[in-house]
Amino acid sequence: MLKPIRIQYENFSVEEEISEVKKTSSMAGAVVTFTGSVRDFSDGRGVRAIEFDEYREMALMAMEKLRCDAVSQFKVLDVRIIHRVGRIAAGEDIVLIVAAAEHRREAFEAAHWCIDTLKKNVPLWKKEMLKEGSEWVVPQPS
Amino acid sequence: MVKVILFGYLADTAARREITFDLSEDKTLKTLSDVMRRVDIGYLKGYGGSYLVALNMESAARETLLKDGDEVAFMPPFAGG
Repeated sequence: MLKPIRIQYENFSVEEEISEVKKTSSMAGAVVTFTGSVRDFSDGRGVRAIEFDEYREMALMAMEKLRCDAVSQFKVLDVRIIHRVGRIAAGEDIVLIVAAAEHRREAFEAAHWCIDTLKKNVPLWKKEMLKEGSEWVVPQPS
Repeated sequence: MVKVILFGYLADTAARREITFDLSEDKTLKTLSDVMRRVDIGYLKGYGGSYLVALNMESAARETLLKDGDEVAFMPPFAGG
């Protein structure tokens, strides 16, 4: 059984994570997923890949807190958060949020809140590998 | 000894991940930050000088006294997702 909170180098399977979340409760009438991917451009410049730096132990603690807070605040049945690190090529997936609830509204709201809060609270950093050179990403308000 | 860990832009600029400091006198998180600025003025100037500090993976007051074995992380603003 896959852990619901993970940081990993390898890619993830959205279908597999949906299947896992459905195992936790037969009451789920809605499963919402958010997938973040590497764009091949940024500020008009070509991007080849993104490299992530991580404070893994603290990041996992922050992600677990996100999960607990989301379940408690939005009354969802379960949340899964998987984030990749290392070098991720343009077009590949970076992060996956899966929120399962009895009804769609809570699932949408929990998934939305999770990705917004992850960006602010989880110690991860990304560097864009450009066509020429590289640059650390400065977080922008979403 | 106190272990300082750098991440992201800060590790890149410093060209190292870790720095260790002897606790020859009582030091707080604030005095450690001041020492870090003197080690290399360039470290903590990225992102307009904005950075976060964690003590043993948790936020802590600047007046917190450091003890042997503590781990202090200097971190640029988070940028995951």
